[in-house]
Amino acid sequence: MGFNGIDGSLNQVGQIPWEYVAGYFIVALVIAFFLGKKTGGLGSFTTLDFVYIGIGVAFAVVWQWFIGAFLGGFLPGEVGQYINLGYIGGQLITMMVIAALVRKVGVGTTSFVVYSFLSDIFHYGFGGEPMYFIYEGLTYGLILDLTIAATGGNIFGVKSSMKASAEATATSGSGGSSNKLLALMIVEGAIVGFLFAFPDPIIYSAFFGPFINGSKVNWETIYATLTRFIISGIPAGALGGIIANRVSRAIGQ
Amino acid sequence: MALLDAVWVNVGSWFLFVFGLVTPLYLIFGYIGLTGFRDISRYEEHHTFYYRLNPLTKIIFTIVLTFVVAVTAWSIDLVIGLVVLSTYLTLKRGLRRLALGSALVFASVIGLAWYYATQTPYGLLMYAFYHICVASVSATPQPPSAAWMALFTPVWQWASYFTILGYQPVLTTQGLLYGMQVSTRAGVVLISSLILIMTSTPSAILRTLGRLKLPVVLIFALVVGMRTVPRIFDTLDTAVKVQFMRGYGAKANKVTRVFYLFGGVLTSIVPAMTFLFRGARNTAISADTRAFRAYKQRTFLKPFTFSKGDYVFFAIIAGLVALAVFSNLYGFGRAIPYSAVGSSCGATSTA
Repeated sequence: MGFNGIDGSLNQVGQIPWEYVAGYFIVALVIAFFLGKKTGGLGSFTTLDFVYIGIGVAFAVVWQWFIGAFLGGFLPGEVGQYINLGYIGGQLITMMVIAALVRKVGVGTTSFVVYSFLSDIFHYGFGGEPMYFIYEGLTYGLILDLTIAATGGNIFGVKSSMKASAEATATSGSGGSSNKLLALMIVEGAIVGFLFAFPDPIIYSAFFGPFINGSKVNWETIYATLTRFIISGIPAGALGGIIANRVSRAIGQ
Repeated sequence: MALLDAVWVNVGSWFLFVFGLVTPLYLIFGYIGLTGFRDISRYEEHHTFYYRLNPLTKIIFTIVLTFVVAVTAWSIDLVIGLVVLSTYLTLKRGLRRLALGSALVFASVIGLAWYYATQTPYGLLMYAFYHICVASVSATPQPPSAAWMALFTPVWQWASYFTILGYQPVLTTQGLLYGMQVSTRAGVVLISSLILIMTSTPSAILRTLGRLKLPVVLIFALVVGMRTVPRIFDTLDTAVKVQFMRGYGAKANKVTRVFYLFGGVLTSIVPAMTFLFRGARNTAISADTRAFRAYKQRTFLKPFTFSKGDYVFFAIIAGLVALAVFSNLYGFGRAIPYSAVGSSCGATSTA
């Protein structure tokens, strides 16, 4: 057992070559650095942003370990393999809410690093770190950051919704979302849900699992898991997009 | 006779199914409840052994324990878990926290062990117990062959339609042991993690992590998260009580009340989230008025020291490492390879 319980296996049968994974993380780091440089990085974050991250991450941990984990037991085996309630509520939807509240590049990576830390304190212990910080931050977190960058900070149509509400209020109309905005929330959310389906089966199961725990790689299982995550992730992400927009507007952020 | 057998199998299967599902849920929402979660996830001032330790010592303890239970047999993990759990008696309101901690860990262990015991494919058990590689492990439960069943000790034959739920056709002793190996490991880590939460103030943890040169903004977000976890349970509790006051679950009896409570929690998540996020502004103003982030590095009023108690605890930690080494030398190491979880022998590869 190597440093901090990291097995260090790099040549398991079926394991993705470490050069590919290293290449991904180097590219991810360059993208994160470039985006951070362009947008001011964490320096542009206000104290309120960090409070949002802290509160949101606490919700993710409570959902993942204290509610979703037990709720999942009610789902029949085959359904339960498609719908991982802990992951959908904790890592996907709650993190989307945080992203919608802060809407600055870097919030995804930061939130997932803090989430990983808080999960270690409440549930996992710190074994395998810092690999989980890196893995979660630069996969799931980076996906959220890239979505924010791609939407110019208007993730899940939050800015547009607020603008529409303000205009409707000024003209004494109703402040509801238009169909176009609703479609935007759903589509963006679905894209995030789709992209979130990839890190666990591909990067974790086929690289970090063997690297950290010495677990074996089974590509048949990986493809099956990926398919299930995509099938459940797209509607869950779409729902998350709507929830993230609504919570953000309710808070007036 | 055949009819009697069929009734026995069906009634027994449903009884076991409900036991595996409802026991953890009842413990979580019926016994612990939201106030219990709040109590077990927050700091309360006290002056016994754990409270005097440096938070770093407790973090090191958790890390070491994570490895010790990962390399020892489940029976040793269980003993370690019970010993650490019994030290909850030294905490503030020790008896209540022991009861809450026991219920939480028992629910987690039962829930996890039951899942693995009933749903782990036989191919994985073959690999885990007998190191026999199976080319491919099907996600759909398959009837075991006679040759395989000769190696396993059957405990219960499920009604045939239970495979729809993902259950393997027969519950085996090996499946139960496999479940225990996975779940006791997680349970012990949970017990030790809660000690850190219950006996260290968030600011003490913040100071410790600050000394480790972690970025102050990350530590700030982390500490906000730590303080928020018990508040989430508090807020959910209030939200659920308001729903009950409005008549929700008015017809519930003692048995069904837990399910209403569970439903109330689910419908309270988004309102509780909105309520706590709305309060974020006050926390931010509070931090800003104390010049948070005015300087890149923070200063420390209290010195970072290790007390005599810390050194005693380091000796205990060293003892745990020695226990792990001797356990492995004398045949009490992890007999079941954890690496088998979620995989076969890696025979199928596309890379």
